[in-house]
Amino acid sequence: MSIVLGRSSASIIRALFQFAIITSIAIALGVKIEPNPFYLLLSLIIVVITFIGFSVFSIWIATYMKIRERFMGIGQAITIPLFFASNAIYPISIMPVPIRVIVLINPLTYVVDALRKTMIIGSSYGLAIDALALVVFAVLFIVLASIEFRRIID
Amino acid sequence: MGNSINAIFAFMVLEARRIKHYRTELYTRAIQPILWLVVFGPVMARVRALPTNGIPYVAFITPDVIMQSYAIRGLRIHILRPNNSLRKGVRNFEEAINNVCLPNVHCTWQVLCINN
Repeated sequence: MSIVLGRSSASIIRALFQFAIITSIAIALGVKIEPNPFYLLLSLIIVVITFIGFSVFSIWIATYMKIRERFMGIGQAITIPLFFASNAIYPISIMPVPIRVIVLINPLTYVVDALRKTMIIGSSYGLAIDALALVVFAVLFIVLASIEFRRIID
Repeated sequence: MGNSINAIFAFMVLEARRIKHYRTELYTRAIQPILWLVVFGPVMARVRALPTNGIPYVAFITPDVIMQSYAIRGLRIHILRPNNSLRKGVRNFEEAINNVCLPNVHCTWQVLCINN
């Protein structure tokens, strides 16, 4: 439990670096980021929760993999569909119905939605649902990864 | 409780050391997101085919670009098992572990590491 949590929260440091770099580039390109510090704080919290969620998810998969190369393949195979089956680069409203179902169970959809609300639009309408979904995602995989991790250590 | 806080703190120190050691990686990691923002965003914005509720397209994909670099990093954490490394020729695995691990972390035979 403590190893799983520790490893995933350590990733936050790197995540915050990346957040700072990309946000400053976006501002340089003329993207209007919401200047309200409250929303900035909210978006940072969302990023942290998500990053813990994804790290723990990765650890959970890794506990089943015996060989590193197999893990690399799985990681690649998961990442790309996650991005294309979310509202990241195009809105949900123009997607076909079967893909919308996948989009609704994809955690990335909720992250991107929440970040878009806090960073760009600057409204907290419907933010609670996104946050709830992310917390459920993170907690679920923290529990699963801890159980599996204990199994492989024994 | 104290033990887990200790572990979290130790892993953070470890990560900070890694970043300090591989500093160039921070910049090379940023190249791909920059390309998304600089090339893909403006090109798709010119197409004007996507209903983005009045948000400029580059702003529309900014959250995605941030998440992309995060999630890709996050999904590459994996567990290094001694057996595999031995097979690959790392004979003195105990020493290798002692070099990456901090003394107060319980990592006797398993190390969680980031794969680049």
